[in-house]
Amino acid sequence: MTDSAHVYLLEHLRQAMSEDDRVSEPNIRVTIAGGRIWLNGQVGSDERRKAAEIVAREIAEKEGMVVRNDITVMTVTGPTVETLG
Amino acid sequence: MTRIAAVGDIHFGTEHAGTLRPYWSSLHEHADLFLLAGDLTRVGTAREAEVLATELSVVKVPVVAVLGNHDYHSGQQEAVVSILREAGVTVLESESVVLDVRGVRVGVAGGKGFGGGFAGACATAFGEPEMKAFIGHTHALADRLERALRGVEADLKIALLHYAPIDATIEGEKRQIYPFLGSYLLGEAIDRAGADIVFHGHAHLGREKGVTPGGIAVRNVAQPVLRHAYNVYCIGREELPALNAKGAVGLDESC
Repeated sequence: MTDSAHVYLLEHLRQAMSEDDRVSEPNIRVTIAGGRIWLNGQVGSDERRKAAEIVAREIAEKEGMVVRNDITVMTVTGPTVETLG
Repeated sequence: MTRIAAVGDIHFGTEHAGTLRPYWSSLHEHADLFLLAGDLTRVGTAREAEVLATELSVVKVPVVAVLGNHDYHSGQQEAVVSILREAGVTVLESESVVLDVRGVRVGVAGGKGFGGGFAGACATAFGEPEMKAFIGHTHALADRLERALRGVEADLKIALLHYAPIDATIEGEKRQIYPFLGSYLLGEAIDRAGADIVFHGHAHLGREKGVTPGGIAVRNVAQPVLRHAYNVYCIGREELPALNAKGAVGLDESC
């Protein structure tokens, strides 16, 4: 792929992370390194993590690109307390 | 002291059923009121709202919410509001509510808000109709928020938004997307009308604490920022100190 094709592919992948209803995760980061597509960031469930990879593969593999999924699932804990006063 | 629990951007999908219930079932031990700062659902379907309503059924204190942009995505926002209201949640759409919380009149004025950017780099109502509509929407919502806040007669006044009213609490996001994360018009409206504290979400990569130019404490309670099921803010109007320039306050686990 040419450099300009990479630019457009990355942006199409970023758009898909937001706009594809299987994912809907605008904060997933998509980068290219070592000839591979890398997914990073944090999502709310393992279902979303897997969906992001599926959608990314659908797009990237048409261009012969391999996808690596480094997305993590957010975990939360109990509250902290702040006193304004 | 009134103990306010708050969180935003929980992005509840059908797969999340049961995940927050363990925390929310004991929320009344830590707080007197629960605020939800928008993006309650993943893609804004009625089904997701039903799952969230079931999850919220364990909360034993009043729940007040605003919608976020995700809650509009499927065009089912009216159903989302209706389902949550039927479940006992007060959903504010540029309006206010006053609740008696342990003898304290707590007023919450809120709405989704919208984008436009912040002082020095703000969109203007100039040029194409689409651009005018974009910033016009923010102007309209800021005006309605100001009216809602002015109409509140309470001991404690809270502004609840999804979009950010200041840029300090979205620092960490790419600057290029600031205009899509909030608007100074919201902060200006709040400073004109007055409030004791402002809660918002939307900026997942932002930071929790900030202050309006008028000195009102702002808290970005987006769950990816807090990394907690919710946080608790203890506030009593008569005991409020002057905040420093960064709105910094101490933590007190004893509240």
